Amino acid sequence: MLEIDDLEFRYESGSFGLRVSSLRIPAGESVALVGPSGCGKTTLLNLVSGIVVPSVGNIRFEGRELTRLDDAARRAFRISSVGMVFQEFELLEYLNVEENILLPFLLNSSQRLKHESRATAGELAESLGLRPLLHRRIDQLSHGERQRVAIARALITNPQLLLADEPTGNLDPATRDRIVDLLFEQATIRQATLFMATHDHSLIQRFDQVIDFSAPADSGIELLLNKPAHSTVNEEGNS
Amino acid sequence: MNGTFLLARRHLWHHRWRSAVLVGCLTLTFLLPVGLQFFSTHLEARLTARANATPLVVGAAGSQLDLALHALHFRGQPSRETTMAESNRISEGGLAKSIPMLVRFKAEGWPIVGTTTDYLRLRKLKVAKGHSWKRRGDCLVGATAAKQLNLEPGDGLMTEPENVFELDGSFPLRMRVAGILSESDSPDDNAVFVGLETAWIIAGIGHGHAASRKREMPDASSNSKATGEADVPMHDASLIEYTEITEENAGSFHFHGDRNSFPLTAILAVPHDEASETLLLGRYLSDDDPAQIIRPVEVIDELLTMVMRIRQLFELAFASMATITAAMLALFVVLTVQLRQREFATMFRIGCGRFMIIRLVGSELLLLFVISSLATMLIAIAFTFAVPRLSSLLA
Repeated sequence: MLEIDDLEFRYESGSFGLRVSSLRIPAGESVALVGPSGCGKTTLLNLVSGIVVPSVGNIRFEGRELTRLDDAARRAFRISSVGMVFQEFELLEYLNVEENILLPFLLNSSQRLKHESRATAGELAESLGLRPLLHRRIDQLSHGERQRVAIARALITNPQLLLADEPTGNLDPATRDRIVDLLFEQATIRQATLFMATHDHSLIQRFDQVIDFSAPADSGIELLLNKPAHSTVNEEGNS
Repeated sequence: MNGTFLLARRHLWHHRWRSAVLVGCLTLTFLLPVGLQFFSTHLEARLTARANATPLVVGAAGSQLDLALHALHFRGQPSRETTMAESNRISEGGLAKSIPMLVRFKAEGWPIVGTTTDYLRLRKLKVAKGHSWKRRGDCLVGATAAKQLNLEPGDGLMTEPENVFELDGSFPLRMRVAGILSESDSPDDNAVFVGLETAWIIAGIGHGHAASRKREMPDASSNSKATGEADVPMHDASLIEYTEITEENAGSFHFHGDRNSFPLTAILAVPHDEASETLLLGRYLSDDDPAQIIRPVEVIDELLTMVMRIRQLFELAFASMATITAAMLALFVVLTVQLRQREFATMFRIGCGRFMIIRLVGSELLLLFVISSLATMLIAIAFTFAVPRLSSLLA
């Protein structure tokens, strides 16, 4: 269960912020964040993943109070419990497919890469139809294949929270449908909570909950625009 | 493999040309001072060892350094020559053994050292193949020269004319290789040794006479009286391209004039003891003396002091270069980090901390340093093998 109460966050520039009075997302549910660009969808994803910290309020995930964790603990939470998929895929061009999938492990530990991790990557690649591409370079892949690699990278740690920020924004309709199916399928298999930011309204009927940022009040969200800043802690999140 | 190192390695390989340029710059920065130090130390050791093994050198008054380099390393020519009379004066003085040298000619690019067998004894040179010179026209070839010229005992070796434009000068001499010297790791490896008389023959001071032959007449009894041509000496009209001393003509070679006036370029003087050395040095104190005596150790020390000063200038230049390279490297790191902001932001969002990113960039730099150091080491090892040849060329 993800619980947000009386949360308030504002970027250091003070030009934009969010206030969420109350939000409850049961484990395994899917939530669509819809609305135009720059309306706060990514900010909410960053708050939920612990990339940015609210000045006021609480975020609890499976009983853990994220707002009370220090930097290292929040990073550990992200790497172990959160899987992230981005619109621009954000794959590392100098790694091959397998290494990109294993990136969370490579970044997490100074230990040698374990054989089991490679085996897991292989199984995941198999389930996402990436097995023949494991040793290919990223620039040899199509957009759809790249997004599947990004999804595999997000799933490799078996996260409980799957965050997707406009994952279909750069894909054609056919590929978009396959990627969305894949995300739902993998979230269901893992009983993971799926948060997906999108401005594609055709997808919203597939989600258990929809937070519409074009009518945020209905979702218990208030957008803070051009108001004086509260004391905020900001890491390196995107707006 | 450690995750950070895997990422660093993959990134460097992905940008391999850029990495190669960086490795090249770093290797050069490491190599130049290391190479200079190594080379100058080696050169210094060689020059000092040779100077220490040569007690005194006598030659015509002039540059001491020229005389030392000429007598010890067969490099260059003193501005003036001395004579055999000076050598005899040293021997007859009873203070030192005199070893005359005439180093003026070359054979296929290698210096010809005209001297006596005392020189071979002083330098402890051994004949590895063949035998020492037995007659005029024989030569002993240094190990490196023999290897380069692919010479064996019994082969011929032609001297080079002193001046190719001097058409009326002496003919080149085709010498007989009597023996090959053992390697001595000294300038003697790069020289051809002949007896003094052979050197003077090459100089055109000594010469032989070719035997005339009588014309052979098919029917001497019927024609000779009629033509009066019987017993007329006939000289070979074919073009003589070189002189060769053979068993047959060796006896005809002789010298005209006073041997005391025959030229020498240097004389090695080996004093019998310290007192003799002091006395001998005292004999050359006069400014009017046409000859000079030098202690090679002192002259080479002076040269090395100069080399040391030049080396210090080089070291200063290398230090500046290292500072510039370090600054460029720092700039490279800053620019790389800026260019990779998006990649690092992705890593951060996945769960990677700033320390990890610093470690990643640090690992890349470390790998570049390690590769550059290895390259420096390999080149230095290759240099170690090449340096005796290089330093012998310089010395």
